[in-house]
Amino acid sequence: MFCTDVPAPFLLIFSETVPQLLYFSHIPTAFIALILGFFVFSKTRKGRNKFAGQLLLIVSLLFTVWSILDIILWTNIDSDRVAFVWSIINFMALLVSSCTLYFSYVFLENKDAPLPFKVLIGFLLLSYAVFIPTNINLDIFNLSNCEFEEGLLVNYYYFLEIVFFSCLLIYLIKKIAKAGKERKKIIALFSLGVICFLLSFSGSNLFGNITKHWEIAQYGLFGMPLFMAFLIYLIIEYRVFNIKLLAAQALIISIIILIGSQFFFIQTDTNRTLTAIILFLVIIFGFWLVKSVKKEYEQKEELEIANIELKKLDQAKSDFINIASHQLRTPITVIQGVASMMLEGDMDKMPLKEKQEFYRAVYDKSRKLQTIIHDILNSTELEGKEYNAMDEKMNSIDLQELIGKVIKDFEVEAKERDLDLIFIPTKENIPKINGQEKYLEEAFINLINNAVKYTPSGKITNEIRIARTKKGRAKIEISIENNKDNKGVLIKIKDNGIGIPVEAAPNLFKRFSRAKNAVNMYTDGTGLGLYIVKEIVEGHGGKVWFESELNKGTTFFVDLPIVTKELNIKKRILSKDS
Amino acid sequence: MTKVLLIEDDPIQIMILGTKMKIEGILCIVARNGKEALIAATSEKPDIILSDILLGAENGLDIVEKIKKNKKTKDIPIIIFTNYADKKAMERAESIGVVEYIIKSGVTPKKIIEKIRGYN
Repeated sequence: MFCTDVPAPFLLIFSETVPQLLYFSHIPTAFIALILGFFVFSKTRKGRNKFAGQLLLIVSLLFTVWSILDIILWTNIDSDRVAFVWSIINFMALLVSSCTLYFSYVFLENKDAPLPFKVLIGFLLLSYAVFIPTNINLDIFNLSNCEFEEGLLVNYYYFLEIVFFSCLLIYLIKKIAKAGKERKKIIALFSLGVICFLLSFSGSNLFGNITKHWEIAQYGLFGMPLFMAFLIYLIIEYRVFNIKLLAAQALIISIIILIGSQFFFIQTDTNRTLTAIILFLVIIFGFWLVKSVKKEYEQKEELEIANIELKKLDQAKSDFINIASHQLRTPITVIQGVASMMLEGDMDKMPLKEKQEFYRAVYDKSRKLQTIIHDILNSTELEGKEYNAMDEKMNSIDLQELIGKVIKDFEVEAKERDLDLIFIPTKENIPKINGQEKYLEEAFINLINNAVKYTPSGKITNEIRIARTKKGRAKIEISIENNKDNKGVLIKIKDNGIGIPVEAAPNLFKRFSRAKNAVNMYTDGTGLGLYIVKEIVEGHGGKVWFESELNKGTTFFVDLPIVTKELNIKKRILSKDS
Repeated sequence: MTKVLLIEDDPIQIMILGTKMKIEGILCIVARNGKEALIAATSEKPDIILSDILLGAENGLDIVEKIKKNKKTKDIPIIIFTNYADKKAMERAESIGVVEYIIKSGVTPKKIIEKIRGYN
């Protein structure tokens, strides 16, 4: 059925009786909004604002749909079409508002909104939507002028729009209040942009609906792409955002627009040429100026990050010095103390057995001092060291031979401690690996030393305190085999000693960290042994890890790759090319 | 006879200091942790307390703070005797009210005993 008073439109929306403003306010704005939507979507596809960009695209799509529906509503005379469009158009407007709210949250929090929030919005929208096909929405249709008398639902529409708007306003105000000084400005600007965006869309709609001054609604629509562009600018420039930069950019663009607009008013050729020259200069130098200001701010930010890193390193260094100096002072105190007592003649009156204890303490502590100094110097030298295949000191190492040698050096101590130190032979062909023998030997000495120290058999006097939870001999088994992908060697060092408690595990390879049960058993450890092992193994491109059960034993695994000379040459060429 | 409470968990340190004090005629009571220290401080009423900071899991400064807050023991002079030379620890010790913060490796046992006698 067709409305009687109104002429039929052509191409669905173009009609002569409708004011020009209508077309300008709907078609170009929707078009621009759509372009902006896709623009921001593509620009944020690979960034932290990906989701926000997607939501803004959805908002722009919804707005476009709304615009098309609105213009159909204005120009059409097919009553069925009008009825359908009119019934859903307010719902589209609600979708735009709620999506804008969702978008604002996602952008400012940089994460998805919580489920209850989404459920609530969905519920509110649904509670409106169920009434769309009813006559609470649209009541009586006037066939002469193609207008509906609206039912009560339109009040619910106003209510929901106000709800969404107020929620957004309250949320934005809270965010601004809570923000630190740095973020306050940008959040305030963003809020301004979003509020203006919603006001110019929903606000003008509402205003127009209520007061029936439709022109207001039309002008409001122009605000849409404007504020959307503003928001997009903020989203993209967020990281390097700065008021001064924004001011510089705004100034340049305004000047360009104003000068450019002169072309519509200039009469004479001279004027036109001059204006063209000015415009050209402003564009060139304007963009150059903006670019250099932006670069400065980027550099400033990089400097700040580097500064923070330096401070962290500094703190780590002073922590290290603190602990290292304490470690060094402790044995010196003992040596000095006993020596001073010797000089003061205190030892002369002492019985032999007691004297021996003092002298033993001096000897042990001086050895310990040796170890600590060696470990500390080692750990600082080895930190981050990489073992370059091109280095002359690198050679092909037979790990089986190397480990065999280390084990032999521990044989005497193992016998003293009544430990079984077993090297399990393998029938496999173990490839040689590239490495520096001195350092790999040190790493395995540290690992086997740990196994020996922390596997008590009860023979050494101070170990009697530590109960052995199972019968059987104290045993350390070392094996060597090809690793999983056959490109390296896997060494296992398995003991049935005191094991490593779960709390100590994450920090075990860090400097100066020692497990509690290890400290109890052997108070003099430096806490650097495993750190040194890790630096050496990883420097050779390998991995070290362990599996352990408290009081049952520990197995340490070392995986070292065969880094062939050819492989390393390839690596170097590739890295030069990239 | 001067009575000293030594809060220390390293047996070698205890051996050296304890022996020296015995030679010099000073009674040395040893506490290896916070619990022992508080009990010893209140029951033995030492003339001076000598405390280390790194005591296994416990911090000597926490123990000393408790002793200072206890009415019965707050007036006993306390010397922090440690190899831990940390500025923050020194500031905290000062605020707790210890009379001295001595680095072990800087003094001989004889020197520490002279200090102890000084506070008597």
